[in-house]
Amino acid sequence: MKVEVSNFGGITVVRLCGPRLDAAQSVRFKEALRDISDRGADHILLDMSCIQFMDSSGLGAIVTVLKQMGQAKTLELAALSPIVAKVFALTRMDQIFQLHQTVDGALSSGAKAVG
Amino acid sequence: MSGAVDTGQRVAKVHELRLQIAIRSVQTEVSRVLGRITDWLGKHGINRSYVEELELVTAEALNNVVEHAYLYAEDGEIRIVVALRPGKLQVQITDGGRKFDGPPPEKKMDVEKFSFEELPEGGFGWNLIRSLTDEVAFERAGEKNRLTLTRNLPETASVD
Repeated sequence: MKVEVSNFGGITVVRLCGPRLDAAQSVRFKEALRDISDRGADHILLDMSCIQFMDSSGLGAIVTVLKQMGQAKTLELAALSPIVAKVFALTRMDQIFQLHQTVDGALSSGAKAVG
Repeated sequence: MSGAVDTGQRVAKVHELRLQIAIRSVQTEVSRVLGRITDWLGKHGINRSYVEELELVTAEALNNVVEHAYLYAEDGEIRIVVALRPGKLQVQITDGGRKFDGPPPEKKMDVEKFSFEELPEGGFGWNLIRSLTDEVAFERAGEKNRLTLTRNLPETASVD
C-alpha cells in the first residue's frame, strides 16, 4: 500500500492511497504506519478518502497501530467512505477512535486543541 | 412440449441470475473476486449500499476460509456462487479445508469497556456478517464446508 505523508503544524497527515484496506493490504499498512510512528510522529491523522473498502482485517490493523503508538500519542481518522464508516459503527470502534468528516475539519479542530 | 420447456427456461432465467467463480485460497485472489462480484451486482442494478455490504460480508467469510479452513495454505479451492432473485441476494461459499463447526454463538463486544491494551484487533468478522445479513446457514457437505449468506432486498433494489 502506498501512503503519502505531509505535516501540518505538528499533525502528520497520512493519506492512504487505496483503494482497499483489507486482509491483503493489512500487513503492509501496519509496516508503513509503524515506520512513520517510529520516525517521531506523535499525532497521526489518517486520510481515508481514497479507501473505498475496508474489512475487519483492515480495522484490526488500525487498532494494532493505535496500540503500538500507545496512549501518549494520538491517532485520528478523517474522510471515511460510507462502508468504512459502517464497519466502525457496527463494531463500535467509532467510540474508540476520533473520526472526522474531512481532513480540513480535523486539522482545524486539532489546531484549536493545541492553541 | 418443446414450447413449455422454453417457457420454463425463460422463467428460470428471469427469476434467478447466478455468478459462479472458483478461486485459490489467497488473499489477493479474495480481493480480486470481490471486485468481480461487486461489478456483476452493479451491472444488474443492485444499489450501491447493498453491493458494499455484500462485499463486506463476503470478504469476512472468505477471509475466515483462508485463515481458518486453509490456515493460509495457498492451494485450497474456494467455490463461490452469488445468486440474485427478486427480493433476495445470496452468497454460497464452499471450501475443502479443515472441518468447521459452524458460526460461533453471538457475543456482544462492548469495546468501550476494554482497557487500551486489551482493545480487540480481531474477532469482528461474525458480528459484521450477522449485522448485515438476514440469514446465515452452514452445512458440512461431505468433506466440504458450505456457508450460505442471505440478504433480503427491498423491491427497489431487486433484479431489473
